[in-house]
Amino acid sequence: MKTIKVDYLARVEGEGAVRIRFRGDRVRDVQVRIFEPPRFFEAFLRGRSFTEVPDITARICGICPVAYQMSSCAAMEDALGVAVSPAIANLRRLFYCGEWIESHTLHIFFLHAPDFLGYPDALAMAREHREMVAAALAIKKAGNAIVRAVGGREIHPINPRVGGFHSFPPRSALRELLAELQRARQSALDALEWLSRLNYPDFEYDYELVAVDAGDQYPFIGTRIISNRGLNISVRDYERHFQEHQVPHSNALHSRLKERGAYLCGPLARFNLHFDKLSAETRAAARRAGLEPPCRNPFKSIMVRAVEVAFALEEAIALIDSYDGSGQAFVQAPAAAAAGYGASEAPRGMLYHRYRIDDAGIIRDARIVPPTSQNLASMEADLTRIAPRMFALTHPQATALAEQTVRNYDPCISCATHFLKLTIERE
Amino acid sequence: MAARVIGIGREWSGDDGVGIAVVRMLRELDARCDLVELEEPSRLIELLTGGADPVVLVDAVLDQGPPGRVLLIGSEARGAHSDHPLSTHGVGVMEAIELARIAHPEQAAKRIFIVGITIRETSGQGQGLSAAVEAAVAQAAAQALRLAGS
Repeated sequence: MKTIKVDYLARVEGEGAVRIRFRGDRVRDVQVRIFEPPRFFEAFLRGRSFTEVPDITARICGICPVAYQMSSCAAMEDALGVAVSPAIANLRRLFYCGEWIESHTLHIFFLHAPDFLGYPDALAMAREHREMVAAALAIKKAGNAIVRAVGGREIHPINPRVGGFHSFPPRSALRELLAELQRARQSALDALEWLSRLNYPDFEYDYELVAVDAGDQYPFIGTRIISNRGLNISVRDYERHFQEHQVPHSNALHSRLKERGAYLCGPLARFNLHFDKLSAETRAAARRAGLEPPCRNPFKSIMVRAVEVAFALEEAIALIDSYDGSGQAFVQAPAAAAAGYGASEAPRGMLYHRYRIDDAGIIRDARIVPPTSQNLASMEADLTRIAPRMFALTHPQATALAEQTVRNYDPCISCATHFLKLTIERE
Repeated sequence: MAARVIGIGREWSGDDGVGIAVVRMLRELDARCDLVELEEPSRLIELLTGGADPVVLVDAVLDQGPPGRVLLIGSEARGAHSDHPLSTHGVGVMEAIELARIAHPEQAAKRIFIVGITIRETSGQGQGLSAAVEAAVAQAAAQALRLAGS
């Protein structure tokens, strides 16, 4: 039996490993093993005030705290019957643009691109692609600047609250970002063209693609969930259609559609389901890079992320142009016994929250389903599909291909445990 | 060009907050340099390429030896590595220095020093330093001041 082991997955967040076992030339078993300990955030939330939820859940993740804040606020506002103003909704979109820009840029250039170019890490890549890396740092800085300006600080922002924001940032503080965002947008379009020249493994699969639906907008926060197989449900019905279950080899739960099993969420799902909601200019840039729906090659998710960076920068510029900083920064949300449901699109995919609170506003029950948990079954299925190619490879080559496959998903293991090591066994 | 001292750490994570404590002591001493408290190194590249020179980084160093020793670590030290290198969540200190030098060779500070204070663990919870690490703050502050040329 041949075993391919990645004992510790690098360039992903958290602690995990991959083991692939072969019997002869057939794949016997694939496990994405997540050994990062569970973090019990859902338990921490019980007994806390509903007002604390954006600050506590932001601590689940250092790169996507905005997603946790937005999904949690959406759920609490659903519970309490609060509708936010267009000004608050637009500032939330801007806030989310910042997070997508910084998270996607880090993943594209510092974690995933070295796989395609054969470098061991981003530092080695940077020595030979200095200008691209410098541009990437500038793009990421622009995303950080948005999060800082709207959220009060870059990591674990403090300005969001249930019902909106503690305060609106001054118009001048956002407008002074515009020149930097314009430059970053051009850099993102240039980067997309650069990425289009990489070699992509010839690999496709017809996934069930799942994403939040936000009406006529490319989605950040929405009240419906859709798929390319006809799913079209209210976020409130999430648990009627999706189910988390334990697997012996992972501290992260796996999620499946009750009716059909594994599905894929994240940039590739959003791109395929919502391509028509991108601007004409961004759609044209995607097409120039050879990307348009249906895109079923998960390795091309790196390009899709660049499309989303360009989109987020364009969206941020438009939102700042129309921002005047006036009006109420939040809607009062009086406590009441209720249950609420929220979903938004974290950089790596759909993030679902559900809370039940009592009449004093104390959280009695919480459920959080991060995107990495939702993608784990598809990640293992992709490894199973691509593993036969590894049999003919050297161990280092097989390991590199397995890690590249996992990184297609930009997994955040810390979120999922609230991931990698590769083991390949050949019998 | 102005000197900059950057304290890296989390004040609510026990001894990991020693870099912050050093910068706060320098502030009390009215040190004539730019003083920055940094919870984690994501902004480090920006701070290393923003025109300040020299830049002194003050950070906790995980070590099995006695805690509270003050070390001067070369910014190109072989074997030095970040507890959290390049990952989805950010960039480690040594990686940030190298990336700053590669991406912005003209703007990166020419003189980058690292003052390390040895600690036993980074997982301490709550505010406050252990006695041994607390006792090293003044020495580390003096070292940082000397390197900053103040």
